[in-house]
Amino acid sequence: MSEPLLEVENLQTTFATERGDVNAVDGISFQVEEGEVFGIVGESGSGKSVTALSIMQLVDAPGRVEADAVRYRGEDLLDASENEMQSIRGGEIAMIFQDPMSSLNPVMTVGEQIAEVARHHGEYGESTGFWSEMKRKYVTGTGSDSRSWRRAVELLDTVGIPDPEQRAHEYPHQLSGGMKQRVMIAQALAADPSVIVADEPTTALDVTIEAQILDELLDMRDEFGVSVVLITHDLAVVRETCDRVAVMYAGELMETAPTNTLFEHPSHPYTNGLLRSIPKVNDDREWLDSIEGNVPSLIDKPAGCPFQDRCDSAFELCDKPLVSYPGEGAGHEVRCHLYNDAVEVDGQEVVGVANDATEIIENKNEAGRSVGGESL
Amino acid sequence: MSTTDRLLNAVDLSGRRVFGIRTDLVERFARVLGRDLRAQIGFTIVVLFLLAAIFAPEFAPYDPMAQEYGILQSPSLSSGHPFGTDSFGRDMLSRLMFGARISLAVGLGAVTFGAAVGIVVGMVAGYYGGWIDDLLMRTIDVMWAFPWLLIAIMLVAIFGQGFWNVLFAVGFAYIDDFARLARGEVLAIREEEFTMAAKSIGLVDREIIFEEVFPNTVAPLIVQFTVFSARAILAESTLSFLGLGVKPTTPTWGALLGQGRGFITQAWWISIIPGIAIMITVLGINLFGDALRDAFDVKEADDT
Amino acid sequence: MKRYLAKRIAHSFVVIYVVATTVFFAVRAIPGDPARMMLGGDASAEAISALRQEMGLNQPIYVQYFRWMAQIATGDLGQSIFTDQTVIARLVGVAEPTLSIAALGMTIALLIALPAGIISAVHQNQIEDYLATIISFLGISMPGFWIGIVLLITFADLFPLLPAFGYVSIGEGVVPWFQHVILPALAVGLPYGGILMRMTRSSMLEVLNEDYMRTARAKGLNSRLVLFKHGLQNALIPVVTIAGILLGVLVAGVVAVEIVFGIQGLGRLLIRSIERRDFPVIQGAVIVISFVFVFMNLFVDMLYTAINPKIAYGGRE
Repeated sequence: MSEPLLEVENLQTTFATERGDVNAVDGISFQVEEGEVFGIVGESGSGKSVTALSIMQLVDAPGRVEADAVRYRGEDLLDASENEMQSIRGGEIAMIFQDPMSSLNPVMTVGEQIAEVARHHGEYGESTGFWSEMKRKYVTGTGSDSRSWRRAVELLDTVGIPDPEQRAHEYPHQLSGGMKQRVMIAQALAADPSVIVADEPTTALDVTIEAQILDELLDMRDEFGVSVVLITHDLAVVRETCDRVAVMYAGELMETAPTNTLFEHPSHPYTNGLLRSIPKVNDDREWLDSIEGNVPSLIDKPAGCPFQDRCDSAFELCDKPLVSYPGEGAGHEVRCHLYNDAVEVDGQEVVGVANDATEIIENKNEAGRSVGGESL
Repeated sequence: MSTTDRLLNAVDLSGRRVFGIRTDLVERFARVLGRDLRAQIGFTIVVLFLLAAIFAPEFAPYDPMAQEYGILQSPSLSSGHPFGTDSFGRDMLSRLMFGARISLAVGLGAVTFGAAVGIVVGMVAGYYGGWIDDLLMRTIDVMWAFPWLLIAIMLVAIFGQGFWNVLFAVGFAYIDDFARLARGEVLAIREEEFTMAAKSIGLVDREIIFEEVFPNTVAPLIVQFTVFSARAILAESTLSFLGLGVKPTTPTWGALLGQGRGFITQAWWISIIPGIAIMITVLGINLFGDALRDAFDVKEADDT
Repeated sequence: MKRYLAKRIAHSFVVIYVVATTVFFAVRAIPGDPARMMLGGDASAEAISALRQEMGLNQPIYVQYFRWMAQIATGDLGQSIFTDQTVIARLVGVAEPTLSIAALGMTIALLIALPAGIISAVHQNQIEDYLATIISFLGISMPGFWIGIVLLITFADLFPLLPAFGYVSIGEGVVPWFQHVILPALAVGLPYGGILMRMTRSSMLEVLNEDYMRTARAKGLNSRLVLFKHGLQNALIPVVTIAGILLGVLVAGVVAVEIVFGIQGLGRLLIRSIERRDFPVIQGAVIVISFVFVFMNLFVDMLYTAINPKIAYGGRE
């Protein structure tokens, strides 16, 4: 296998608050290959958005990002200087945010918001110095025949906005929600990045528009070979678009697998709970299945699996720190002690636990948090 | 936990009414005091000045009008006049304390007047909408953002000087802002579910406005009140300084300042010290208001 | 956009008309007979009556009103009761100092408030913020005329650097003009600037937390660019609004400061005229001040339209 495009190893992001440290992301590891759509799915508060921001080093105090490594094309981003990060952001890894209404600048034309990305990361021969930009913003505007502007118009066309020359001169509030999100995509593509991180790109949109936007993202992958990290809470979206998926809960990964494997052989009790709770068209249940209980507090998390208090299959090993176990298919990893070899399971009910199960886990932990080390 | 927090947790007052005032608002108020340094400083200052004003007759060392002819004293502790005297030999400290009564009374009274009229107008306009809204707001609009001083001067010129006239003249300028604020709040709340719920169980309009709508809009109004109190005190001092305030012989802070104008080089304290008093009072109110504004400003918690 | 502009101008004229009418009746409501005041306490009843007849004060009020309205329309604001000048001449003679102080005061306020507010917001809760906040709090807590007195004592008495009283027209030299105008302008500008600084700070703080700032950073722009290219204009929108609303504070400040520094300006003229019941001058002064005020508000409105594209280009979804 070639080197993965993006490699995250043991990412931990903590926020210091008055009440204690919030472990928003607590030891995440995953990889994204070139040209794949990788989904991160989880409920609100699971830490998925923070993960995205942490990779881009956009987390501000009082947040702290720590990891064994966050590698893009082999280079550890954590070692990068701010200048280097600025050239990576937008230029190599671009990000799309959830609410296009608030994520686009209301006092700048849509065209300029796209053009400036091209200008700053590409070779357009246009000055990007502070005073040139000030002049461009407040005095002269960006010339419609400048190369960066034309690139912006081109991109607006690519993402399917009709009448792009006209639209480029408009302001975000003059566009509909779907169009605004397309503008965000255009903005993200402007500098030919290799990865687009999309944080809940369709949550704020109508279902019909959602389908169009997702198609748009897939087109980007197909036409330009861009990898997409798609963050969402919607399993249906994952099913439609992602090649591989990671399920997050309370800042930790629960299960990682190729999409089909996840839906056909869901292994983690949490994943099962999620899948069961989706109402289906031919459902004749009277009551919706939900997972009882609430997400645990992220401050001073209790040891072990964060899901244990809500899990039907919880047993003695659950308060030991989680370790990654192989799942049912290729590339399938589950972080649940039910899958420890020394545990006997019938369905998902624990039938017997070997005495040395705890030892095995503790040994693994002593060798360093070996999350992500157990793939086939 | 601060002491205030402990006390408040011991006595759970949420949702109850004592003498018709919702106790959870009082509780919030006390919490702000307990936590925010600005609130503490501001509140202390204001209370001190209020006490000085209220108990001036008891504590002022001299009769503010008593003249010792021709003796112009500079401030000194030994002479018994810590803030000196004016050109008629009247003790400045006593005059300041008595001045506080009027300056504070006019200031706070003016805002109360403006608030009372403005809030009622705004709530009615917002609640009923339609032509009532148009009529009321247009009337108020003409005066909007107009220089308050012009209006106040004209009012005083027409109706004469005197405590109540000045109070209304100053307060007039605040009617508009309170009306807008109240109207905006009502418009926002009117559409909220609990108003519809209240209507559906048959509460009468007036009851809805005062029992349901008003308590929820109180917070910004309180903040506005403090902001304007500061301005009103400054406004009264400006009018008095110009000779258009409460009767010229009365020692309000602004008037004292005005009296000292002719003696700036010889007796700087006559003008400077009342100004300091005004400044400290207004500063206290501003600090307190700022703390209140921060406390009532509920920002949503970040979503991870 | 043009329609908006036309609407605002029309609205301004309506306001001026209402003001003029209100002033007319308000002034007539002021107790005191100008004829009697002019002639003095022991004038005979016939003399007073004759003077009143001459001044047109005996006619029915609505006749006086229409006459006056007609006069205004032709630009004639009448004759001062107490001096020989026409009202217009009187007003023009005193306008320059007032405008100078107001303009310079406003400029000072902006020059201080905007940078201070931005710095405060960017360095929130650090030393720069605390210093700027303390200064702005002091500025908004001190009466403008008191600041004037303090400045007067400091710079004209303790350290005799600047002249204490009076005004010198700019036509007679920029330096003397500046020397006379700087202290009053400071006294007017500091309180106004203090409020603007607070507003700039809080507005900037809000903008810094907005999503689009995060997007700008995610695009790889450096922090200075993000602040000034993406943030600044958004932050200024509420500041411009409040600068307009608070023009009343500016006007009040100028009036009081003119008294402190003994400057023969519009404000001082107004106060004196009220004392003397010089109706035409009072009316004229109020109208002129209102006119300037409405015009300044219109200017602020235009500025607001320029920086907030949502007004100029309505939503089209």
